[in-house]
Amino acid sequence: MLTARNLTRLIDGRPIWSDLSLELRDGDRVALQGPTGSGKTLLMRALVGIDALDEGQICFRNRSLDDWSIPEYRRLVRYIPQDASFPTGSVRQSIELFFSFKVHRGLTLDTDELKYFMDILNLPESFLDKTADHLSGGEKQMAALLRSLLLKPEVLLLDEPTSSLDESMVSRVESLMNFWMEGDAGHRFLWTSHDSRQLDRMSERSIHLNGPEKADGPERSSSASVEKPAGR
Amino acid sequence: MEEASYIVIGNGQLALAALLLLINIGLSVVLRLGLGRDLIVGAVRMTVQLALVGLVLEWIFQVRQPLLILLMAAVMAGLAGVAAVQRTSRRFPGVYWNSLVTISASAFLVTGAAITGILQVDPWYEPQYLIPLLGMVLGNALTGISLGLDHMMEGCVRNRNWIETMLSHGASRWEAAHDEIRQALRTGMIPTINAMMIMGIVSLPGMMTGQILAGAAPLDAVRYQMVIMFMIAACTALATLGVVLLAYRMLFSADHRFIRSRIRSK
Repeated sequence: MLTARNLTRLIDGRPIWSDLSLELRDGDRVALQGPTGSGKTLLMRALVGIDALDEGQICFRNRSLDDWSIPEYRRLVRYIPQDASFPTGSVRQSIELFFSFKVHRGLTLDTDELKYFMDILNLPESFLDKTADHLSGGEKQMAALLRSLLLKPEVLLLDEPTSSLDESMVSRVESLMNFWMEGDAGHRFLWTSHDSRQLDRMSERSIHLNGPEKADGPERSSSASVEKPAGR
Repeated sequence: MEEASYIVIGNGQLALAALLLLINIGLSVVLRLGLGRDLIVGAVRMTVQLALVGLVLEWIFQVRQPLLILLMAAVMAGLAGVAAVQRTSRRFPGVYWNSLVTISASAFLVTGAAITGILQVDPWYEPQYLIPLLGMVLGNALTGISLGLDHMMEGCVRNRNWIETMLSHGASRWEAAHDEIRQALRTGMIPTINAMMIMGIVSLPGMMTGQILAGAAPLDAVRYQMVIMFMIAACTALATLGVVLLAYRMLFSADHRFIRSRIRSK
């Protein structure tokens, strides 16, 4: 279980979200919703400790984040940025680089699994030898997803994972994520998207961020989170 | 004082040399380069600064007080440390301290080792050796520090996305920063390596030429130049490494975060 309690993040002294609590249980498929600027990306970054929190506590497997070795925690709880980066080299090299991190030393690249994932995405074998400067935005997103899944995380925080993909690819990525979720009862994800139909398809419930407190919006209960079933 | 083996330049000769500046000013006026003012200011600054340094050095060489010489050395190191940071286009908190600590530690270590161990100057504080050697080592370490710092900060800002992608995939802060550190060290060392590559072919180094002018045998002057180049290379490597590692500790927190907000533009 991944729990976050009373999280607050200030930007220039103003809370972007405050007193925010959430839970991700085994098998959870959760949509993270909110208008632009409501801090969805910032929340995901905070959940993996890439941004510092101003207040609040994050627990994973009943241990506070302070007690985790952070690389070890990020081995299990993985954030994939929307514009996941590939600086140089081929897709294969970047996958191999990530396997070389000390925290993954017990892990070897499962080529059968890689082949299977690539079949779901309908990617040819040659995709692995494409270099960074020849990858389109959509291909980068798929490569980033592949790279992450092969490192066997338990929790995925997906920030607009299909934002650069055309429609046919979107459904393939969704199939891949469904396949991944069925692969282990402990897998779970938090997913943001501007496509609300996608969120309805992929998630079972949602967390809503209202965005920072506006001076002229008294009816809004600032940035508290509301949990509601998705897909009504 | 014994007879100098070189021609002492008198005031009249100095004034004659200053007339050479008229060539530059004339060109600037004729070609409308608008450089006349800058040239004059530059020439005046150079003259005043060098005259002052000359007076201070003359005094220090006469007094020959170890404490005073050390003070002079500390001032030189301090100025070099500040100048190194001033050449960079970004800053982080504590950057001046980082620069001061590393340039002082590396320059004093290398110069000290050379003076006591290699040249075996007696007494060790003999300003004729200590001051010029330290000055040359500092000048080069300064370049290494400013290039290394600049590259480290620039690289981390430019590749933030990639660094954070690595971090979020379980990379330790060291694994995530490793490439930037390596690049920063390379960049800091390149001027020194290039200087050694072309030394004697394209350029006749200033110190060696100076010694030859002062009457030293060319082969002796060459030996001094070799020693100083080894000192410069060692000191620049130490200083660049030190300052880049301190920057790394400041920019990457112990809980494996890259703290972008610590880097500000000038």
